[in-house]
Amino acid sequence: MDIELAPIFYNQVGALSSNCMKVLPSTKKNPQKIVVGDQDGVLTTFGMKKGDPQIVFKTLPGPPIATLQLNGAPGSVADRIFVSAGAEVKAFTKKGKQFLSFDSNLTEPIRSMYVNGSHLYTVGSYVFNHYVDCIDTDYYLSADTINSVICLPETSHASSSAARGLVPVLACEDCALRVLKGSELLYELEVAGPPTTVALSEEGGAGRGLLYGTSDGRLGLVKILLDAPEYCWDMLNEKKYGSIASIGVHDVTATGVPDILLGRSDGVMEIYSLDENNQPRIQFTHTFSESIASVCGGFVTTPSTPEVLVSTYSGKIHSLSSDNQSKGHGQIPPDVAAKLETLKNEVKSLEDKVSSAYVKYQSIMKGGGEGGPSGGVSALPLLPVNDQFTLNKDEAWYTLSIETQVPLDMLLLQCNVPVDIQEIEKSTAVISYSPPDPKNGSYLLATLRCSMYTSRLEVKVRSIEGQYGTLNVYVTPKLEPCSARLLSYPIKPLSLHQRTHSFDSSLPCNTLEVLGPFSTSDIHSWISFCLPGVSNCPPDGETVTLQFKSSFTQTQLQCTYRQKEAVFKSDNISTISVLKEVLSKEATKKNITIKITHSITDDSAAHMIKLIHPRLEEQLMLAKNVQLIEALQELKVHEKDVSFLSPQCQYILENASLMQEEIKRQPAMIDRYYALITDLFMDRAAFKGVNVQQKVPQLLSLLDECNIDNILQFFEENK
Amino acid sequence: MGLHVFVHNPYRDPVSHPSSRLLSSIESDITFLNIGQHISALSAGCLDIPLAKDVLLVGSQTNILAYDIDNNKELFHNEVSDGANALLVGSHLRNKEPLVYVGGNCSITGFDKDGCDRFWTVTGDNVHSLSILDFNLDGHPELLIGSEDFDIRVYKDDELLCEISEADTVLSLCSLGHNKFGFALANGIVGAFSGENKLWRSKSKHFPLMVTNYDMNGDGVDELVTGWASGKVDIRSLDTGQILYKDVFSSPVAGITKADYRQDGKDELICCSVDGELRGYVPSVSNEKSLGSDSLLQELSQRKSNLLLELKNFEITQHIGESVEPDIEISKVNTAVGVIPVSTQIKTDFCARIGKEDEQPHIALIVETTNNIPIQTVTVFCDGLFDGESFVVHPSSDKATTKVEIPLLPDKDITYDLAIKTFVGNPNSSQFHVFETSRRLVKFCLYVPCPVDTKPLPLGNVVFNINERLDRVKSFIESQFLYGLGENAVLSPNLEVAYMSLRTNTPVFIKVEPSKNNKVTVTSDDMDLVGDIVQSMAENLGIEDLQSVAEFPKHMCDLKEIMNKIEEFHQVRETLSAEIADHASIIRNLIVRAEDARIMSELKNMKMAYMQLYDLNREIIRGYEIRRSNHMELLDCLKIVNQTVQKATRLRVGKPKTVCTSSCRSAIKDMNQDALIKAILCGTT
Repeated sequence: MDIELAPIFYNQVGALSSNCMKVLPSTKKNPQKIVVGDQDGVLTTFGMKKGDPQIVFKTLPGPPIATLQLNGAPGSVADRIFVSAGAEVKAFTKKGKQFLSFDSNLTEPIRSMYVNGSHLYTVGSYVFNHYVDCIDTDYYLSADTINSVICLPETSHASSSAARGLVPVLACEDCALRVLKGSELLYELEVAGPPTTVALSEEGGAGRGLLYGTSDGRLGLVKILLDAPEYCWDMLNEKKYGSIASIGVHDVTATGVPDILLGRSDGVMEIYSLDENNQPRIQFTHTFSESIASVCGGFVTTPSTPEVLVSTYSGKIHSLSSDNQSKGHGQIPPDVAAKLETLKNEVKSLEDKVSSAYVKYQSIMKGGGEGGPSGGVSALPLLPVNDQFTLNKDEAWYTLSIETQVPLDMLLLQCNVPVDIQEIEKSTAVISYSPPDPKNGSYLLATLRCSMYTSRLEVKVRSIEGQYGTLNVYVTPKLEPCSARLLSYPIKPLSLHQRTHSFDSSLPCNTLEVLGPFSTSDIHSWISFCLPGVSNCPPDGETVTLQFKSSFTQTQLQCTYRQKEAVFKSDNISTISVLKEVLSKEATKKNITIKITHSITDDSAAHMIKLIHPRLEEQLMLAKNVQLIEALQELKVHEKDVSFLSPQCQYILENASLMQEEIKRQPAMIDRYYALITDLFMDRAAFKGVNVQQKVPQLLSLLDECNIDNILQFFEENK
Repeated sequence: MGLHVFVHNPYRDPVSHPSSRLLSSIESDITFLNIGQHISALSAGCLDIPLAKDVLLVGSQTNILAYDIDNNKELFHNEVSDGANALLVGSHLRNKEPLVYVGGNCSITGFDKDGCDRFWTVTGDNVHSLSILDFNLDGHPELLIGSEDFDIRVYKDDELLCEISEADTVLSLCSLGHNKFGFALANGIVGAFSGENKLWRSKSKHFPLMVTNYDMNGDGVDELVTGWASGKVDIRSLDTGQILYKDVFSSPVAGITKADYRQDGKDELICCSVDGELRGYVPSVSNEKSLGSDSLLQELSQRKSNLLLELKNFEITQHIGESVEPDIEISKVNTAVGVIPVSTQIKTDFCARIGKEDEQPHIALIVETTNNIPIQTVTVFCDGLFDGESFVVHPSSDKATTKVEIPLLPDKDITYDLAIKTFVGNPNSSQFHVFETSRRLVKFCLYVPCPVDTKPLPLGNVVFNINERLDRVKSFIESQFLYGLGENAVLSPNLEVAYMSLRTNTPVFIKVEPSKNNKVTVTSDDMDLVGDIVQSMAENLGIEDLQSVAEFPKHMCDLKEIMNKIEEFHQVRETLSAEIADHASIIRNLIVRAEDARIMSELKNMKMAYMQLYDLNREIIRGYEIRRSNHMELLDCLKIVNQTVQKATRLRVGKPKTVCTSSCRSAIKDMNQDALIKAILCGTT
């Protein structure tokens, strides 16, 4: 069943953090109200009347609101509004009366919170706090960044556990959900990607189901039982949409079963419903031009038609409903026309104000020039940018996304190591490369000029493991006085690795042992320098074990370290080689003498080749098939009946467009595999102290043939 | 290549489709035309007004064919030695006789209905696009030519009316009614002109293939339709360039045309993609304005919030500015906000760099701050000057600098407008001030003054007289050369200046002698450069007609050689053609023999005959290769000849220019070397 929904614009507020919009429950059969807290610190509650936003209350500007939650007194509707800004939590009634202001005195700003009755759960970057009546009762320090917190009732009977016995669940960056009991970790469970947001699958958490959305765009459902989790399903992100920013649950399809609403950072909004087997099925997709900050369901215009409310990063609030369809296509209703007129006038007067401010600013700048060097300073406020730099696990790409409140003018990308930039298909920005300038430390210099009304831009960045540095991005918006914000992202030596929680010790394994007078925090900082997904502060415990998996080669890495000793195990020789190089460099920087010993298993090279070979073969095959497509299609045009062709050719013809898409999506994939195997060969030789530079062309020609036995034999011969 | 190309008639060209039949029987309607050559251009139109029937025109690299579809009859088949890159039916001549214009390598030829050559002119480079419209609103249409040297040239009859320099190869042109026209460039720009004035332009990362006109929204004004290599088709408003409508094909767009395909009395827009998908569009009748009330509201709200943000930005800027102590040291201020003294300004200058061992001579754009505030990075946007549209200089982060140099080496002598963005601020800060500056790079920027007695004196020169005061010539030089007259110039009694080109490292001299009736002598071995100077001077001083006498011994020597070569190539071709005829008869013979042998079951003889055939086949292929390379070389030579003629015409302005073109043309036709050289040097025979 597909549903038809049309978007309509409701209101514009300031820039929004994710999940800062909620729908207030209504007592009688009245339409519901929307409450939204923006980054200007303004909390707004409004309802819709005849398509016009009617403001109920609006607070004064303050520090940016980071989270917003609804709560009610036990047994009543949840109509109290809790917001957090920095480390402070405030609460308002639905009429806008502030009844609580609580400063948690935490050093970290509150990233996410959950309120139930008199219980308040807050998380900063690493700490979790539980307050009962504003008194700190529980505390937990997480091993990695906490993205979100949510609580489930302790027992399945939601009604009886209204006030006490809640199980907090932390969504952490290292692909884990951590279930707590008091101040202790009950258990942790690994999920498909770094979870960014979590939501209860049913109101009140009756079914104990927990929905999570990840930064690589996946959605999953787990059941949090008291002693162990139960995995229900995990949905792949096949269409390569952006990360999930918000999950809402609301029965939009009017089937009696709540549907899942998804808001993604690339502006895609999706509605899934669960089928008989409780599997998600896509019902509706709509793409907004800006990233979505939050999505929720409600009845705002009429109490009968369900709506999906979507707020975007720049503060636009839209509604999607089946009622909106007829609207918008007819003549402009007079009230809308009047509204347009007032808006136009407002814009006009603002334009005048801005231009006079501009003239004033110009005269200050010029006047200063004449008045001598001490004529004061010009200082620009920091441009707020909503940015993301995330690893795409399936394709081993980084996705850089930049979004500002105002339209973008251009981006300037500069990097001191070679990285590749690839545009995404739907982007309209004009990319232009300048010649690299290694003398000044620039291997990448590129400008991306944006077209009109673009406030969000996404590019893919491909890094090479072993080459590390910094990617600098200068963001210039179309805003006077003209400014540029510099954002820097580290390209780590093992940039394509991702944290996991498993290690297969049956695989052939190369070991690197590091001994020396270093402290735990020293070695931790080196590891955090090498690998993504490692927190800045060392986790508790004497011996720490971290596991990683390469998103590109699928090889694994295990780091076990404590004071004065660290052991790295990987089935990929190149990974060990990169670690060896970086660690010795970092240790030298700190003036610590370290002793590195390694043991290389020859089996591991063969294992790697066997791992890569099928994929390389597939890519080569694909490239070959794609070359044939054009000729075959020509044949098809002239012959009409192509049954005489070999089954393989027919297969190519049938899947032509799929193949072409595939090859378009992964350009230079073959080169990447070639480089991988050559590096493996060279690194292995380097560990053995042999120079094999002259044998590389021979290896490359073997790779072209792509016969696994020959390649293995070559590796065997050149031990 | 021996490649057969089919003209898929109703698909590519619905105009010529025998449309009296129903659409459903389209299978049987398809007519295949076997052209047997690589088709480089296709057009259709009415060449014979009384007959009122469209003919199909097919251009290849060597020929043009006019074909009557209904009668399956060839009207004419002409050889065009310059190839046919673009075809257009229409007329810009006063007698309104319809011609088919064939744009080839540096030349345009107009043929009438009988295939007679009625119009010929040369242009700067390979022609890519043609259009006819009333450019100057004089009631008579002009011919517009877009070529590979980035120029759009406007011809009135034989006379060059106007030249518009663009940033890349002009791929497509289309008339948009009145004096407006749209264009598409190879670097992704599409835009529109009204006469000489640019209405708008819009750049995208995709590659446009063609533009055409179609009134999509039914308002009586044509919109610009663009077909892209990405498969996108978009329709833009003529006045603003705003996209009104778009559609996407899965493969690149192959052609866009409009015709009354459905026989309902209205023209449809028909687009075809490379893999043969065909879509037709009819004007959308719905009222655009009412459709967008929601989006309009949203847009206005967005504008409002943007403006509020901007206002806030100004207020905060001022607020912070006031709160900071004036004499506090800049580096100590909180680095989260970008702080610079208000006195900071950006100074830009151009400077010639003679170049060192590993560096080519170039012009440097110097950007520096007026105080000691470091520059983080400089970006220069300019179309056509760099490989991309921008050039970035990012000084190393550990060497803070207040002065940045950007090397510029333009390929052509035209004016460039540079948009410079300078990011200024403390290197540790994460917010920078952006200074936007625009500078114009003058036409002859790569020429630095040198002493007037620089040796060796170039052999080539052009001499002409002007009716202008010396001061005006001086001001022309001051405005068009980066360094103006320079200190080495001799100002009286004669004006003598000399410049050294940074590009070619050869000198150019300009000498004006008021005593000899204002005789101007431009001396250089670079015929292009001399032509540029003459054209630029004429434009600057408002000279309408200018005749000149030239002397370019080296060019003429080369030209002679090339003319000889061309003659040789023609001879070789004739011999080869004779060979083909021989081969053909032998082939026929052998096939008959082989078949006879087969029927008689004399397998040995049959085998032998086929063996011979096989050998012959190889020989023919070899012969073809020779012919092909011969032809390619011939084309190159012809191109050089055309370019030389074009250069020669650029030494003249107005009427003498037209005369020069036609004299050259007739000399080339007769293969008369001496006449050609005389026409080039003296402008007439």
